[in-house]
Amino acid sequence: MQEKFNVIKQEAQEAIRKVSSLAELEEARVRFLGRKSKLASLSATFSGLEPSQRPEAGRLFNEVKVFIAGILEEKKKTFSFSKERIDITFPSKKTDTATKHPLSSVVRTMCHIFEAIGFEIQEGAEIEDEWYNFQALNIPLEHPSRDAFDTFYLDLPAQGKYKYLLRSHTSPSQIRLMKKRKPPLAFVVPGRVYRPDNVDASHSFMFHQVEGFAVDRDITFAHLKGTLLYFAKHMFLDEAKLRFRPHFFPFTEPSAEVDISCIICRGKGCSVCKRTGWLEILGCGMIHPNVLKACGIDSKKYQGFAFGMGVERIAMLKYGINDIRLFFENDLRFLRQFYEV
Amino acid sequence: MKFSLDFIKEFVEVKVSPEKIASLLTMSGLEIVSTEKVGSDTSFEAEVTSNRPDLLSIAGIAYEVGALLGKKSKLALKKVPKQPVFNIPIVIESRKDCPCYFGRLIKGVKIEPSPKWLRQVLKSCGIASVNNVVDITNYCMLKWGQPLHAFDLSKVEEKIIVRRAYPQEKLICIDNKERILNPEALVIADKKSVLALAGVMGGKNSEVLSSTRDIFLEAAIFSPILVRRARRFLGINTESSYRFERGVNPVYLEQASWEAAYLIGKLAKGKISGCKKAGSLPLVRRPWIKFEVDRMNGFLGTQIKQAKAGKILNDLNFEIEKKKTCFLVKAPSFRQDIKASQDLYEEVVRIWGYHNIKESLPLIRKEIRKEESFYKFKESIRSKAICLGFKEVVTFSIIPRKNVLSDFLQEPVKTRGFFSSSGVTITNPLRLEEDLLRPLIFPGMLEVLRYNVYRKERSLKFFEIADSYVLKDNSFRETAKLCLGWHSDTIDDFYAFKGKAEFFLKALGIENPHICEEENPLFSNFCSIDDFAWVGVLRSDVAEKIDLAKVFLAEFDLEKISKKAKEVLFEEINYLPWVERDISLALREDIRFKEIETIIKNKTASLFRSLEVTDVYKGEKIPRGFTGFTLRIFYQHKTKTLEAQEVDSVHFSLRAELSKLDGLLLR
Ligand SMILES: [Zn+2]
Repeated sequence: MQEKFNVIKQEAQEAIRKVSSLAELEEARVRFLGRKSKLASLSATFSGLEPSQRPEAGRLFNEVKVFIAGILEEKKKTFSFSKERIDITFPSKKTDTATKHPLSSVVRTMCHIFEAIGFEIQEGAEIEDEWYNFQALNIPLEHPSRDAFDTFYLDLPAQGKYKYLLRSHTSPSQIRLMKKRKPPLAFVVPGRVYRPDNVDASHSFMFHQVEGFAVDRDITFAHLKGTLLYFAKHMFLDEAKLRFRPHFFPFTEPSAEVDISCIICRGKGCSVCKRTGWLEILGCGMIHPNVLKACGIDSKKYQGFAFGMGVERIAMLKYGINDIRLFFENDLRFLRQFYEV
Repeated sequence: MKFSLDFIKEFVEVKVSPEKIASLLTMSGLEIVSTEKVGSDTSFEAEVTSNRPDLLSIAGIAYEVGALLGKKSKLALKKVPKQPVFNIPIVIESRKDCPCYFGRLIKGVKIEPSPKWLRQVLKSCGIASVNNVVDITNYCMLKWGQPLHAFDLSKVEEKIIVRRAYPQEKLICIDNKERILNPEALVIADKKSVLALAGVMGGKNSEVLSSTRDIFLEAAIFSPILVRRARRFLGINTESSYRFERGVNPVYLEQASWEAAYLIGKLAKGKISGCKKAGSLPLVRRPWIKFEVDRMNGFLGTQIKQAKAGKILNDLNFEIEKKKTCFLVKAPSFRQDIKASQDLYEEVVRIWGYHNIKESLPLIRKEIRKEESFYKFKESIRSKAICLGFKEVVTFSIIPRKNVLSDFLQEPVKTRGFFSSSGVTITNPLRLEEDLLRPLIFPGMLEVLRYNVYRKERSLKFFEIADSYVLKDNSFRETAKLCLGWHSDTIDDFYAFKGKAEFFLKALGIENPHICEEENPLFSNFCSIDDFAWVGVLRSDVAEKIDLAKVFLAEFDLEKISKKAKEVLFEEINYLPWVERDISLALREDIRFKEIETIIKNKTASLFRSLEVTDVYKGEKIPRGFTGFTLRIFYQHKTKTLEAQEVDSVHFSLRAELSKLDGLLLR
């Protein structure tokens, strides 16, 4: 008996699942619960059972009947509420949200990477004088080493013999912080800088830098390498490699230019890295003793490193932007491609 | 600097490939930017940093290549034979300008094309062959780094004078261009005229030509600063000026001069006939520098062995005296850039290889104190502006003197009130007229609005955070500002803009600032908020001039705001029910809303919760010159549930009070 009920139950479940219209559903109802249904004919056989078996058969009969009625009702609901359904393939409404400028978000990412390993974020002024921009950084007034730092001068009465200018790098802020605070020191300084370069796809007379430095009794070149590698891995890829090439900067000794393994071709060589597999991203070195001296720090006791990098350069590599002018045009079609808030 | 590998091989045995040499040099500080096969030779083009004038010579590069290959260059100084002194006077006007001037005579030369080997060396070094004498001077310059100049002796009138040029004095140089000089320039002259621009370029009038028989060979030391100024002023950069500017090695001067004279004698069949030295060679200071290998390793974070460091320094031609615990090291004469122990560390480590230094992270010690950072304050302002729906832009701090606003202001951005100060000027702008450091941020904002309006965008909300620069009685102030800019086709959006500005201040905990409406030539509405901000609606003639519709602008002085801002604390929520009552009224256009708002607040007093305009209309039922709107007033008691009667009585007396106001109609 039990067996027979189960067969009916399964059969009904199967059939009702396949129903695809209200008419079919009615047919199914008649077929499984109607007077001529298998269930009805099964119940007609109850009279032939032992009286002791009848209550159990009645219970099973009711259970199956309620079950089938339940799934019929459920199915019916899906048909009646289907009218509420909408066409989700209809075009969506365009969303445009307020966002950070890509340079701001890259600056923040850069600063936060350094902050995570103990650097403090500070800023400095853009109007500086020759002492802070050159002299204190061991850059002589009339020397070829100055050629790399063409500078905008300002029509402001000079501070003694030092004329006012727009800083050509963020390093003057390094001087100010070293003068103001005592070691141990570890800072990153983001900001705008200015150089009278003619504007083209890779030059702008205004751009951004992030400067970083650390001074303590035992800060080494190995720490400089470690810090920058940590940065490169977080900014770009964990597989990123750095290559330190000896170079000359008046304010560091030893100095290095740093290349990153090309993040476009992963070092295999492409047009962006000019087939070398490397991209130059920053300059750095151990702070020159003259610079420490200029800031009143005893170079016999303390030593440190400093680095500086162009934010636009980093942003261009990170996002694959090929023209620096895009950052300052503020075309919505450009700005809308960045999602950081 | 282009140089030939074969030339280097005269001094160092090289068994590795040219590519290997290029990479070794690049990774030790002499960047090889290109490599080129020239016959069986290889020509390298190197970028020489300004601290290493010695690398502008084969002599210098040979030591470098030697050290990298673990051997020492065989370059040796030759004994310079004594020569009779000739009788042409050499006069140096100022020893500061020219400490030493050395002349040699070579007579009866035959000017011819150079032999093949010489032409080839020069070609590999990127220098065009001229004739045997000129080529020899270039060859010796390449080898020793000491520029030499050959004059046709027959063109030299009576004597050689090293002096400053007279004002407006002229010289036609060997590049056939006439140059007008000034007393900043140092020249070589004879009794009658200028023969050469000292250290930069020779004159046409004394050039060595095929007819030349007797040579006056110059080897001198000129002031690097004067050479630099002259070549910058005249806009010429030569092999000679490039070297003088960076400093030549006095020790090589007579060596180079003698070798050139010797070669001219040999190849041009001349007779070396006397020399003369005016002034004296500057003293080359070569102090002993203490070198402690442990200190170096502590500075670099390395474990370089003392013997290895010693070998590197020795290969680089440094003199070493071994002491018990350290070395005393003396740099060679051509390394005037070496002054302190750090310089020696660099020498060792760049040859040893930067790549051998193992990276590690520093343990940064920190003081226990709160780090106040203006950057972070600006970041919080940035987030707030973004939350309010403004997109960030970055515009130039330097703006044209003649900008979008010039037509409306007598002087750019200079007028009464908020614009009482002018911007700082750049004395050497990139383009004339583009020389103003902006005292206000919004001119850049207008440019951005216009740029995007031209690209068919009408509804624009932007912000920028940047410094502004204000000239104030002979001094200046640089302050960070936030500028908000909103472009819309309808003036009604102003109230949304106002709402955002209010929200912004509220979020900073700045309450009830003093707002003062002012006249302004650029704005139809303009008001200052305390001393830290202003808000304005651009006047339609100004906006139309730059093809914009309605423009709302605001600027906030972030330094002042940072001092006023405080944290906003939680305020207890009033869960008691509130009651709303509407009033429909019409207001004559000369009556300001502020007036009825004051009445409402006075009359409703402690029951007042807030008000809202639910509906604005003009039309038939409203008299001309009036605007109709519905005001919804929300009443709520601070401590108890309001009874309808209580509200009605307050509301009724409010209506009565309002009806007394001239220019207000209750409906
Ligand atoms: Zn690549």
